[in-house]
Amino acid sequence: MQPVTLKTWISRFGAGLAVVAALWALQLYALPSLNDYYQIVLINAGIAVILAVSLNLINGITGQFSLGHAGFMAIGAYVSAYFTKEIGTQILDPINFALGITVGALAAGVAGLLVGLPSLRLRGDYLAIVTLGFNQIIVSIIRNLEIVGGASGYTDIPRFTSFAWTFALVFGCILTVRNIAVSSLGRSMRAVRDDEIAAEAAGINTTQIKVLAFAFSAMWAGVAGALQAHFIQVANPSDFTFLRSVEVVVSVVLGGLGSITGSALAAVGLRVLEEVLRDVPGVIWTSLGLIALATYWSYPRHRAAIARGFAGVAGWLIGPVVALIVVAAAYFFAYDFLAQSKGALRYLLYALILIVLMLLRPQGLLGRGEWSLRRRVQVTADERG
Amino acid sequence: MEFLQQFANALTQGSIYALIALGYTMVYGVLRLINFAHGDIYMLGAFIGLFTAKLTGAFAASQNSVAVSPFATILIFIAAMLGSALVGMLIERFAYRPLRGAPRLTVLITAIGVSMLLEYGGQMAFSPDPQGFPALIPERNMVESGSFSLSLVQFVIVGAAFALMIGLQMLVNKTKVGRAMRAVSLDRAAASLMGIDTNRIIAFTFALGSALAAAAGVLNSIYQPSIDPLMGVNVGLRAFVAAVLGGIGNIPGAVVGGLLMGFAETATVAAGLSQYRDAVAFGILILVLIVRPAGILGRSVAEKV
Repeated sequence: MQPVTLKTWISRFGAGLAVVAALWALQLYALPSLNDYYQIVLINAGIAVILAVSLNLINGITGQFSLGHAGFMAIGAYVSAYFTKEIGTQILDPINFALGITVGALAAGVAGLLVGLPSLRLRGDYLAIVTLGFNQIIVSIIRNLEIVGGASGYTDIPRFTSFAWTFALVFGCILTVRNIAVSSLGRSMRAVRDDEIAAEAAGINTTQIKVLAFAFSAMWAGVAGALQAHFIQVANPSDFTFLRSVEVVVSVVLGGLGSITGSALAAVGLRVLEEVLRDVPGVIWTSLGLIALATYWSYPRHRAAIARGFAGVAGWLIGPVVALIVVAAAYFFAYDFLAQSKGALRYLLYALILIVLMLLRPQGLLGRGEWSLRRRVQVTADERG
Repeated sequence: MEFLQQFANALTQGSIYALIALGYTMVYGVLRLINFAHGDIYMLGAFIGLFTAKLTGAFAASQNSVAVSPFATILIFIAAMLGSALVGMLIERFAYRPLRGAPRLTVLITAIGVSMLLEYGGQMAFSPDPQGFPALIPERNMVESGSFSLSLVQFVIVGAAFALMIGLQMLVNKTKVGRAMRAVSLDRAAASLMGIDTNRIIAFTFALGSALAAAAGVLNSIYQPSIDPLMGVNVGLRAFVAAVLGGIGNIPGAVVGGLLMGFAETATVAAGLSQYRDAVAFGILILVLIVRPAGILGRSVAEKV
């Protein structure tokens, strides 16, 4: 570990500036060649990454279980939108937006602090329900606040969110969460996750750690809310209900509780999957992918038998064949039906992901590990000898 | 008079919450699991009731405003309760039993998944739009004086709910199965060593809780005749709050909690704050968990290290 000097700070600042400059350049020169649809998907994916990575701080690294992330998001969205629309209109747009995001994030952070307080006395499943309750309470309060549009939503929010803004904040979110995770604070958080009583006995102020995790995570949820509100230009209370929270939880659980890269990849993956499932070719490709996945998964189990001939190969292929039959049956018998009920299908997919994942691979895709390019390269090199 | 009327309404609503809360509390007792899907079992009960009503012709009769025969009504209740009990057992068998011994968070996430599966599977199977429910019980007032009226439906709901709750109390306290249930909820490992087939008792508990929720679903649908696949979400959450309020794991506690929730909700609506119903329910939950986490009738258990 090198000592942190003024030089370190200058180089860090420089690196940050370089990232922002690179994003800005991308937005100016590369983005116009991309059509609008992909830009929308990209920004939505960025917002989903911020939500998932920040929730991972509570659910994965600190081992508490929050089901109320959308509530903090709502606070960020409404407070920032109120600021940019009503208060900061005279200021230059980017500064107005930056201030709006800051105010929204701070408000969400304070809410996180308040929600974090009852978590001091509650364990796992109770905490989940209480955070869910806070989410519902926040939504029902907003629904009755006429000053921000009430149940019909807050409209005419200026459109400030852009590619560069979103991904600069995605970068900031991943960086700060990662830095917390590797610092002594992160070590304390993991100690609380692994055994709260032992952590307390070892002198960790568990109260402080848990409240900090909540406040910090809520702050980033607020940022995500601000980005979303200034992107779709409307904030509606029904966008921030329990279901939105579950979406975030699904990404975190799918990526692996405690894995930052896992959360980010799963969030992007789910967004892409949703977009892909919107049209027919996408559905076909996804089904083919599922069949291929079934083949791949059943391979190790039957690897030894395959060498012994026909029966072994048949055993190996049972998984994919069943998948194929199910997909074919779905096409023939249920195509119209499935096309009609697209909205429900999305949440059904989430439900199946949660159940199947918990039964087969409860640690998620990446577990607690991180995906890293360096290690990939290392592993490949080792395999080559 | 106004007060009496509200009291009757609160009692009706409260008995429905109490019936659902019993399922939460029993499952929590034997498995230490918050069965998120329980509110959706209530929804399923209402829908099975609707289908049986269509099959037996009760639905058509009700639409032509002909009185539904009491046999059809009883049949509808039995079908809904048996069907939901079966679904409850299937959920336990395929979603929760493989996770026996897994971390509680894993089971909780599965429960959220099962709940969403039922809600959105329900939307696909029954269409997301609200549907009407037949008037299985004639609309007649039992008592009527001035502005106060007590309808037969309300009377039947309170009566049936209390009959079921007394039946459950007898089952748990007087029969062999009930004794096994109590043993499992005290100490599952020890119960298993004493020769109790714990898996069977847990499955039975799910079946029992689901049947009570289904009964609540049909009763509530007669009272408020509009059902949709997401109807169980909020009712389920309020019933859960009721179970915690009374002391989760405690059967009389669930009844007390359910009735109190009914009164709290009626008071909220009477005060003109019906928009804040959920907020009040969760406010009560947070307050209980902070002030007295063991609930009204529960005993606090010291955490062993």
